[in-house]
Formats: sequence, C-alpha cells, structure tokens
Amino acid sequence: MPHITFNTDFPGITGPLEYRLDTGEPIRDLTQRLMRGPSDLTVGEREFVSSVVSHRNDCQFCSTAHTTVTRRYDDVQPFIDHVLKDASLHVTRPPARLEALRDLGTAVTTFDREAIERSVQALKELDMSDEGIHDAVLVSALFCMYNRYVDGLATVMPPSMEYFETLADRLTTNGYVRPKGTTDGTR
Amino acid sequence: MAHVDVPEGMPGIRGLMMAYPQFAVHMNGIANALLRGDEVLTAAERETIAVVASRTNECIYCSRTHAAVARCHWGDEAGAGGIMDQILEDYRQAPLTPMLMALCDIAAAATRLDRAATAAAIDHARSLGANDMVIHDTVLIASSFCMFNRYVDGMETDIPTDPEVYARIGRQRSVEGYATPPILTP
Repeated sequence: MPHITFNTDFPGITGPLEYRLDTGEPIRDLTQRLMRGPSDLTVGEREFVSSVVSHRNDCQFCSTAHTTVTRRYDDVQPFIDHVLKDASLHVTRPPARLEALRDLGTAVTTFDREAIERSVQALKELDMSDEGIHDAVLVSALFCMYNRYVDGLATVMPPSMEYFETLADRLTTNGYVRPKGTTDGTR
Repeated sequence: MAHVDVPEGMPGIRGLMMAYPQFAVHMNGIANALLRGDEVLTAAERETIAVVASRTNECIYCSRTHAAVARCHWGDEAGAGGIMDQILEDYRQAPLTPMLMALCDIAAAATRLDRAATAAAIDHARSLGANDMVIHDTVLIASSFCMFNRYVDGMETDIPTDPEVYARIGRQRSVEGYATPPILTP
C-alpha cells in the first residue's frame, strides 16, 4: 500500500504525478524534452539508458515500463536482455556505443565518478558529442529521481502486465506529456 | 574541468544551465515548485531537507548552496540558521525539532533508496502529525536532489571554494527563487 493516499488508483508514477500537478508539470516537461526532443542520442538509446538505471535501482515499475518501451525501438531492442540478465549469458552483446552508454548510466546511478570518467572518455573516442554525453548523464540522473519518487512513496504495480504494453503504446506515440481524459490508467 | 563545455568560470549547475537552457527552464520549474512558498512546509524547512539529501549524496556544491539559501530563510532568530554547519557535518547531531528531524530521516533514507528505512521514517513522521502533502514533498525534494546532485557531480562541474560565493548565491536565491539568471557572470 502506498505511503500516502493518491487521488487516483493509477499505478506507479501516475499517482505521484497526479497528486501535485504543479510539480508534475515541470517534471513531465523536462522528461518530454529530454526523452523525445532533439538529441544526438536516438530515442531508443535514451530509453535504453533509462532501463539500465531503473533496473540498477531495482525499481520494478520503472524498469518494467522502460524495458517494454525500449523493446519497441529496433536499434536497441536486440540488446535489452543484456541489461536485464547476467552479461555472461548467451545474449547478444551490444555495440561499443551502447555498451559505453550502459556503463555511463550505471556509473551515474552508483555515483562512481571514476567509472563516469572512463565511460565519458570511451564515448568521446567513439565521437559522441558533448550534447550526447550531457543527455545520457541527465537521463540517468532523471531516472534516479523517478525511481526514488516511485519507490519512496511505495506506489503499487498494476494488476496486469498488459498495462505496460498499453503504457508503451502511449509513450512511443504521445510521449510524456499529460494525456487528457484517458481512463486506462496510463496517465 | 567539466566533462562537457560550459561558460568559463560558471560553477556547479549554473554552468550546465547556461550551456543547456532548454533543460534548465524545466529544472528551475521543479526547484521553484518544490523549494519556494511556505505552504505545509516553510521554504527554510524545504531547503534544509534539500541540504540533507545533497549531503547524503556528498554533493559539495549543492550542499553548500542550499545551506546558504536555508540560512537566509531561517534568519537569525529561528536558530536553525546558526546550526546549518552542524547539519552539514551530521544532521542527526543537530538540535532540530522532532518533526524536522523525522523529515530529514525520510529524505536521507529515500536518497539511499532504503525502502524499509523510508517506511519507518514516514511512520514516525506521521506519529508526529505529518500529513500526506508533507510526506509527498519531502520524498520529492530528496528524489529531485538525487537528480540535481548527479547532474552536478556526474559532469564534474567546478566547485567554488570561497564561502562568500555561496553566501551571495544564497542571498540571491532566497529572494528571487531559481528561474532568474545567475548573479555570477562568466
């Protein structure tokens, strides 16, 4: 049971975002700009990093939501299992750029500044721009916020895993802006 | 030196915000909504919670900046302004009210992603009279600083050593909030 009473029965992040709209709005706006706006990272790469971070933070709601979204993007879909499972298992190893993004996301999450430095250098050697590095660090930082917001208030998982497919439909089409009038709980 | 180019001489999050204004506008919106105003929690209490989260993350720039803002909000008579150094050292040893201590415990536990300790601290704050909005805002302030702290230190931004720099930032932000251009110039 959540630590506070939300004004909706919607699961996960939706309860908190709808609870205080004047904080929810700039959080949604930042997320939309960062995850869907112009960037030197593909949308798939940004979702991949958000999955790495949420998985590392053991945030079940965010991890399930964003791995489901990540699977919708062809450039990263083959490599998402590499994040979720032991890397020694027989899963497809990601290309160097995605490996470096994964390592950067993990290092930002754990506040390992030496590992951040190594990942940033690896990305620069792969010709990643300042803007791309910036966006990868900020995506990682943003999801360190979301994961704590979701689990710090002990929000609930949806009753069915189908919820995450419906949520992924919305996040891949409308993005992170607040939808008007939905009743499927993916607000 | 920061991992990405920022305007020369602009420290901490302000250098990043000047280089990336398209994100800064929303981050400052979050800070203004959470840290300003005196509803449910005072601005002084909100800034103190931000200090505890930043200190838990060992983010020097954010800890000192928000301690400086908190000092301005608390003022001389409130007492807590004078104990900000103790809070920076170890808030558990500072003479906080039982309620503010409980909220700081929530913030520290949420920052560490310690779900059991967060739940216990929330129960304790409730027994002292904290309502849902107080708990919500405390968790979100801590969570948002887990973002801001990582942005600042993950990018290896410059950290001023002169205490007067933080005092100036504190005076500016306690009056103007977070959306205005920085008092420091490149």
